[in-house]
Amino acid sequence: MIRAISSFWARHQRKISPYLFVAPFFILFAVFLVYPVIYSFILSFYDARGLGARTFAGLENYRELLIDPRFRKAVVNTTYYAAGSVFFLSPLALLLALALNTAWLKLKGLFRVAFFIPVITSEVVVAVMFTLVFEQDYGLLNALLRSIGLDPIPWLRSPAWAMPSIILLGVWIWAGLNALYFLAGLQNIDQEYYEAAAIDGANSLQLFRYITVPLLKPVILFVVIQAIVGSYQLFTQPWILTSGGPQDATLTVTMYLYLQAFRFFNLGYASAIGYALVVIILTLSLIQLIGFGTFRREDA
Amino acid sequence: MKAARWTLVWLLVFLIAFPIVATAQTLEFWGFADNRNKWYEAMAEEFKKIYPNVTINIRSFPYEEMHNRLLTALVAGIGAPDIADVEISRMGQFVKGGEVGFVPLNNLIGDEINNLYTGAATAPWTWQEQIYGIGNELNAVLMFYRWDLYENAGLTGPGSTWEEFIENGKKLASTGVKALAINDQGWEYWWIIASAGDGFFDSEGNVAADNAFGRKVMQLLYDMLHVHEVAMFAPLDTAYYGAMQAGDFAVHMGAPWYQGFMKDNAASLEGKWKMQPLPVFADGTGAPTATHGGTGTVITKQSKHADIAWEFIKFANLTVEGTLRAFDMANLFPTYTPAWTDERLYRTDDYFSGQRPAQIISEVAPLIPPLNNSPYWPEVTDAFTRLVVTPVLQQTTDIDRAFADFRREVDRIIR
Repeated sequence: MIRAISSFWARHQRKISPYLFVAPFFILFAVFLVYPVIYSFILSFYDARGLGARTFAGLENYRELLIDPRFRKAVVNTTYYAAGSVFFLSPLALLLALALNTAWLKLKGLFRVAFFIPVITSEVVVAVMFTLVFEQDYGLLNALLRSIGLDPIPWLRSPAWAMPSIILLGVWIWAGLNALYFLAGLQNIDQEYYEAAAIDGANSLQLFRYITVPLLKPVILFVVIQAIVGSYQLFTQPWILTSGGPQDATLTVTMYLYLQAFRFFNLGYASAIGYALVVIILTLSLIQLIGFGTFRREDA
Repeated sequence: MKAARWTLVWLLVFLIAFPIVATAQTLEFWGFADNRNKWYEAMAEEFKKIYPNVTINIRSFPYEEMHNRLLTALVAGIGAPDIADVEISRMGQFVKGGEVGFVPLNNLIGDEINNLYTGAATAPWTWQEQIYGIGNELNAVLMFYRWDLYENAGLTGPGSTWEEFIENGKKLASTGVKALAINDQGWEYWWIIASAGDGFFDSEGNVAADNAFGRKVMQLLYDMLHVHEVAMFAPLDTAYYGAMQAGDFAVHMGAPWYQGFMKDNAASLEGKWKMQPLPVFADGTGAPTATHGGTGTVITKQSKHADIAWEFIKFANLTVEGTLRAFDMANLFPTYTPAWTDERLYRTDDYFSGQRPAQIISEVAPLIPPLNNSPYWPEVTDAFTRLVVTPVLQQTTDIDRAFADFRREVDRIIR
């Protein structure tokens, strides 16, 4: 028996051993990623509340999703945040990068370090810190508003202001990092283009519109996709600042998933939310890739 | 030959060591509350003196993480601890579905049930007459008030009815101090007052938050904020203690565990507080106390040592020494009634101006309205905050509409 195995090993060793070497990764990948992905897909077709027996429910969970006002609210909120990070945060980051890229700015190194600090700080720590920044009566931000004679804003308490507050926090965390991406892109643009255009009499707006933006397109694409995908996974900051309130104003899709799974113990429904999120993110990324012409052939 | 000798030696070592290893038992305990974990650690040390072979391994996780881990381990069918602490508002989810992952304690408790204040010790962890957990904290809510601020306004205290509370509050407000700071992002004050009329669920398990009494309490909170102007919106999180120390408001309603929180977060106010039972309505409705918060200890069905786990729980929760230790370490007032006659419980408290908290608590304890738990507790309380408390107190909807929205949501949740 042992002899048979060892002769088999001797004959096939060269073929088998590479697979053995890469096996640890694939085993872990299968157990911790593939299995949950498949299992939650199956679970999304079950009525799985609490422990005990699960009953097959077909598309019931997905049907419920379509008419669930809270899920709709969560999608709207998350889209609101995503819009904030695409149309407010990203342009701001680009402006920052343009400023950093100018020759006359001093202390560039300091700025670059400062931009990185929010990113490497734990999101939880940042969020806890910002509960004090946004606090209505004692907060930093309202103290600032009062000092210039404005009325304090109920940042986290009012349903209208809660999401803008979360977006502001997002700007504080991510604007700097995105600016660094843009900066790297800007520094890759050959100065000769600008010189040539300047000789042709282009003004600085035209330089930006016809040279910077087109050559920066890959970076813009990267930053925007990242912002959107990241936005749809938003969880930590609103969870700590508002727990989704007031009145669901900051309830995000992932938070709703979390509530359904771990607070309400509706595992089937939570799985369906997870898959709805996959569909949303995939669709948006596809639209974007098409919009930016990624699938067009380079030589066409 | 040499190899064979070594094998023999190892075999002997193994044979001698094995029985020792086999009888030494380690039980896993998961907890989330620092004050309780410290107490259980102390109890585990004492327990070891009686059961030298048993080690209780107290593991501490953050609140969310601990309950989620426990839930996941129960779903997975593997990896759960022997013993766990389950917070009162998280218990509901664990009794959802056809199966409960905890060991029923009814037979284990036996006659000791007569020595327990069951409204706080077992009711919150009971589902369909099975007791799954035991709580050592009698969380009778009392009204803590700043006697110095009331004295400034020429008053002796908040009063014994809500009507008086409001009248006194107006005098207090004229000195620039609000009586109450009401949280518009949570249900705690509504619950504390409204539990006298069933609170969230009636004894049948039906949602009762929108009954006449529940509406009356919501109206009371609204009136205090917007009609009589004797209350302010509570600052969120730690800023609450800032406002407390600044003397912006004079009253907090809380359970005994909250006394510990106040001592930690508003130490400078020592000697400025007193406590009294809650006011009731002038028509006699309401209750002088309520239960708020609390944690129960459960044994999971995955435990292979449920018998020893129970011995430990009993040792900590069903003995005078154990429960008084918790009182001493964390202000946790015992649910184990034999401890109520122990004079150590009746010490004076300097933070509360030399009052004896235990005196007042033991007087009102028999009047605590029952807490009826439900598998839908998490969803329903969550819906109540976002559909009733916040919009009503922020004046974005009126009470009738809010309660109608709430009822519609309840019908959607419980199918």
